[in-house]
Amino acid sequence: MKVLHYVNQFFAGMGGEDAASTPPVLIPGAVGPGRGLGLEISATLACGDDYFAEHEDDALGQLLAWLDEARPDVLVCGPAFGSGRYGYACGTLAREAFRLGIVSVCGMDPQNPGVLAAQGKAYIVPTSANVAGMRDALPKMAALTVALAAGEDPSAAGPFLPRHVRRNAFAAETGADRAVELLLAKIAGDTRSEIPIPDPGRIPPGPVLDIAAATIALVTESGCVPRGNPDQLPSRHARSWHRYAIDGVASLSPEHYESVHGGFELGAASEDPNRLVPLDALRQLEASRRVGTVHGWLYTTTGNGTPVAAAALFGQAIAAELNEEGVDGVILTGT
Amino acid sequence: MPAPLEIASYHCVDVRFGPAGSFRNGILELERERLRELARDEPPIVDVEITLVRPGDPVRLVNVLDVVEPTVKIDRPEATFPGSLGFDTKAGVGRTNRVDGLAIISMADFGPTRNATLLKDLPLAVIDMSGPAAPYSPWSKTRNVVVAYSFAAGASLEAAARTARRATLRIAQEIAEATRGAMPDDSLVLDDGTAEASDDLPAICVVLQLGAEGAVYDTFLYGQPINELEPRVLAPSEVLDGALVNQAFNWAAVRNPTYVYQRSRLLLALSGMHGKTLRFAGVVVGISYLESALDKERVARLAAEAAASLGADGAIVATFSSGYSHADAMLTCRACEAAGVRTAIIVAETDSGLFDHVEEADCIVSVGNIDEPAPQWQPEAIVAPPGSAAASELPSRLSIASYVGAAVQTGDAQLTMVPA
Repeated sequence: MKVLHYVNQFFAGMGGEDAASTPPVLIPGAVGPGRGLGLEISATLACGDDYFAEHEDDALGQLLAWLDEARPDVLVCGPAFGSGRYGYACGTLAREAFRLGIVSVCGMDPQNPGVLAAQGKAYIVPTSANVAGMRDALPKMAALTVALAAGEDPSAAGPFLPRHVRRNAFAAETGADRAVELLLAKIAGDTRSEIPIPDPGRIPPGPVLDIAAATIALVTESGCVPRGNPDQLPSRHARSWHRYAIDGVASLSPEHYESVHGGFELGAASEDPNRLVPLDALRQLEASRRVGTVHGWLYTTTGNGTPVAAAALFGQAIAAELNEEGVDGVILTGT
Repeated sequence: MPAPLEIASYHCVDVRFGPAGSFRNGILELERERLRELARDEPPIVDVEITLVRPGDPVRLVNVLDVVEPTVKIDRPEATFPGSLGFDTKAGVGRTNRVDGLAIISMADFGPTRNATLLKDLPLAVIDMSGPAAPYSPWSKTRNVVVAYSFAAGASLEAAARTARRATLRIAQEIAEATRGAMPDDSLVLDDGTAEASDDLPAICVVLQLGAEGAVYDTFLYGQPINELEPRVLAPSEVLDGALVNQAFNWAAVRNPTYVYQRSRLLLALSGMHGKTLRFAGVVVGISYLESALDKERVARLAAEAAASLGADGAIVATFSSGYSHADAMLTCRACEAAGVRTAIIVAETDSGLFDHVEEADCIVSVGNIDEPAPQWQPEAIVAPPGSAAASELPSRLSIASYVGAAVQTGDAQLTMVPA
């Protein structure tokens, strides 16, 4: 049984936040929590959480190259507990390893954004939100790893989060015949679906703000970026979001801003980017004290052909930052 | 009361070229030069190549545009594909001869047309006649007359797409003409639900969403563009008898070739169950892939109103493509449920799951994941339009999305998703 283990800079013993920008490293044998798994770990992959978040393509490229070379039976990631950046790296790496045909076991809190990032491609052992759950998590992750490496039924080896992984297959009947059957059953009171019904994830609105004292952020999916698109935000199928400083910016002038969205005709937006992101109007409200403060960063992505799961991931990450920075409310503009 | 539609089927056991068009003992002979002349009749088509392929041939067809079943209104040929080819007369009335087991497959490379740059993104559309990925396209199982068009340099994309559509229909009609005087293998009479059906049976309608987004993403109703179409009711027999013709050449797995309207499994299944387990109330057609919230809500509401006006207890929403059209399917589902019409939706999936979902959509048929890689295969020969670069630039790895009809959201194929 060949097992590789992925951890972040902290659990690799390289340091805390100060080492979060460390690029991927390959360490022979087990490190940190890997020693507690009770498995023979042939190598540990480690990467700084910030480095992974900010250079995802580079980090993945290196980590996947090592994985492809080593071809382990199982990749173990974490446990990441409630740490959003660590969990995101674990989930994303596990998902991409799946594309290489490498199965992964992760450990994290079920609310961790890494669960969404894994897109059901990993076996995720639910853990506590903090590191106190280490002792509980490791044996469960190890048992699952052993079962998967042996080709045994993983569900007998302990609990993991629902994966919702499905594959194509030919049905005995056409989609039309199945649709007729399902509809007649639904009318008769037996409602079934071939696609698991997504959790609407509806979030109740927060309390009404005292707008005159509130910090308001601008968030947009309109593809609005500084002219020249410094971070190469794509026109469709965006895989990331970006933020740009707007402290001291009175208005989004066409000389300095543009939209790279590929889903609508850009003429009017290019003439006045304020119509994508109403900074000009918000500054007037701020000056007349009808709005407290305009947050210093504009958050942007391209919402074009973006699956709900990916959009939810962007939203979670952006909301987490806004929360940390004390933002009270958001104006979210869509196109 | 109008005469019902009678569909006479002539089973084709083989097809070959011969000195004259004929159909004897299931052997269809085609007069190649005559078919080429028929197709070349309309500029900017400058040349046409016709190739015959059979199930099991070690070939891959590329740059496929449309698939059409050969049919002719045998007692009134000028009414074949009404509005598109002949007179604008009501489809679904009188006798139609169809050649069963044979398909006309049109292909072209729009490279030489004026809007070539627009088409850099026109995705690959293939059919493997054998090999591990053959089952993904329903037309790997039919004998196929492949019609490859070349256009005059500088021709507009609109003219090229329009003439290829019409030429393919002319060939389909001409080929079916060979059945004149022969004995059909099978005959089906469709009376559009006018036969008695108990009020106790659930009334079911189909909401069929259609694409109308420009030259290579279009659908035609009685030969007319449908950009301004508001949801309206069609009789099932109209759809099955050539009223709808495809001119959408985008994502191969999730476009609706003309063939799926002519042989709609959904409409035929519901017609067959009429009076027994259900009452088939009719078909509501409307455009989809709408871009404004206002249009999306209006079309969803009007489709639901049309379904309710048919007395439908239930509706099956069939769609095409992905993204906007799926949002429209979801809104239509919501509007139908609000009008008391219980609804099922047919959709294809991607690696990322559903693009949109409403709570009311609790009964969804999956026709497969188009992002899944298809098994690799090296064909012995490629059948491609003359001078097409596609043949030499084929990626080594194709996904299901490239296979024509693989995940057609009218429910005509058998792909689905199961737990891994």
